[in-house]
Amino acid sequence: MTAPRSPAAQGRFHIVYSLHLLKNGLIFCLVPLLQALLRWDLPSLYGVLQQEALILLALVAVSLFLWRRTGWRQYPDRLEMHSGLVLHRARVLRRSELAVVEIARNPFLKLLGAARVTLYGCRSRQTVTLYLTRRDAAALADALLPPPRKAPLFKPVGAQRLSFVMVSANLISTALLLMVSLRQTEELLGAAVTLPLRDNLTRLEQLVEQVVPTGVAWLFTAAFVLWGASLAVSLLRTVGFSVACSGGVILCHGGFLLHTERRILASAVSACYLRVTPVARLLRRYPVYLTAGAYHASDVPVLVYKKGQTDLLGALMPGFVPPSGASENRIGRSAPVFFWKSGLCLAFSLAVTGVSVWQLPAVTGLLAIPCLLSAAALLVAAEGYRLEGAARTPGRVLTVQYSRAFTRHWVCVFTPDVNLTLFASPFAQAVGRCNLTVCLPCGSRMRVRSVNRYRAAHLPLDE
Amino acid sequence: MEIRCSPGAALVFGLWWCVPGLALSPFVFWQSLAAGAVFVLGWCGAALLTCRVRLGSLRGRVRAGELSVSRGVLFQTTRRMPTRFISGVTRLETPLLRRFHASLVVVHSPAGALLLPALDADDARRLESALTGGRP
Repeated sequence: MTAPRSPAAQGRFHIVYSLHLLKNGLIFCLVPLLQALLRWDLPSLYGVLQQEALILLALVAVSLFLWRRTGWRQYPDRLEMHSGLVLHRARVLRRSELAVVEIARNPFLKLLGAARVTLYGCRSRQTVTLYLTRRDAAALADALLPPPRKAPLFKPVGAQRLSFVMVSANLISTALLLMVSLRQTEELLGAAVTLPLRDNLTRLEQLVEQVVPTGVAWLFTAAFVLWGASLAVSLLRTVGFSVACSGGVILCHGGFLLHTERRILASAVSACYLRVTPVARLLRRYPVYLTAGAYHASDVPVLVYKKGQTDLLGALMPGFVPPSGASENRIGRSAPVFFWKSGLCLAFSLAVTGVSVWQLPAVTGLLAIPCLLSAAALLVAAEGYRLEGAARTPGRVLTVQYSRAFTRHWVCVFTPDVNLTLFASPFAQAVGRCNLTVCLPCGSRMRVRSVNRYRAAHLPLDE
Repeated sequence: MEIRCSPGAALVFGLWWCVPGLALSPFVFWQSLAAGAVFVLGWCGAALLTCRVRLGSLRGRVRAGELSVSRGVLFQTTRRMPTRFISGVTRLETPLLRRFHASLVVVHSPAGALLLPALDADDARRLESALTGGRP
């Protein structure tokens, strides 16, 4: 082995690493203090302060001691990290195994001059996270994956920025995040903290009630608030967003509160996802996401694809195949596999709406909404029935097209490192069909329903 | 090369599947002796029969840079893996599996792992050799 004896760079983790270790302890210490403060019970506050100051001091001492034992060493061909007091842990990441370097800085890290560096490997699903100073993080990223020197390929401004924000907004994740954060806040600090928010929501609902019926008004208010929140999150995430590519490295960075910089090794990109969401259909602009090794980002797309304009995506991913029509013959394709969920939902919604017409006419308007949503899901299922399939293109790229709920996915798989699983029920066997699941190294799975069994069994695996 | 399940190993796996049923059986015996006996017999019979049929249908093949394994009679599953991306093979032999000249093999690759539960010991060794640098 010819490893150099002295590393090119080395150092200790940023002290924020010790706070990271302290995080859970801090929450348990601070919550009783905050509760006593909110109640303004000064004698109990003094008692809690004395008791928890001791616990906190002990935790701080342990975490500082642990922090002093951490470190990293960067060699031209590898990165070594070590940590632990009783149980020593050393990790080595070879540079040739690296696929993506991500540097994230939230307001707290910015205040302390630190950055969280996450390293994603090509052939392992495990990631490595380091807390370094801002300068060390930049130097390490420059050494591992040098940034592109060319001007940005994609820098959304004006109407392009607006469409980018709209297609990046994720209503479901924002709603879940909002619900979890509200519940956690109420559990930790009491219901009084979220009372102003509830009051304002009720006022907004009363305002909406002037226009639409009572039951529907809450739905409209919730949809309006969630959509607004997801747009605001998306707006903050995409501030100053740009994508550049040269020297075999793709650089994406941007974000206001949470600034994120991702350097993706172009040769390690395993798949390129294009999502046809309902908003994307309306705008006729589709978000594009990349997957490389263990990295699979779904928060911010790398760019927005407009039908017919393949030059931008072609410059970023030369092997990209634009979405095309059906690749699968529909003879023998099972309709129930595609339509049973949305069909059942539509039938149930229609039945309930039908009953409500003569039993509860007041809620018929509200029940029309699930009918419309089920009908939309049925239309997407019909599109899936027509278009779903997997095929190797003449350029040896595996293209996979499938639908889930309201979204159609178009995926170009560049890596030959995929696993294929074919599943055939007795009914599918009778007509020579099966479900095909494509597994990627990042753990992502794509299930294509009712494809030709012979073709799936003979689909070339390797390039 | 072709691989298939050994009947003895399928019996061992059937016995493994009997363990959860035997662990649950005291709760049924608590209700009545007859119910407990029916439960134990039903569970163990179903476990042995399912393993015998399901694992008996296992057929594997390493050919043209691809490992392909299919199993199942009513619900058929086929798994395909490119051999050049296989990162490791784990072969497990318990005393009972050794008694029946069988092995449990796990094939690892970045895109997922494949469990081959009841291979003949010779087949398992040949497969391990073929996937880790030997000749198929």
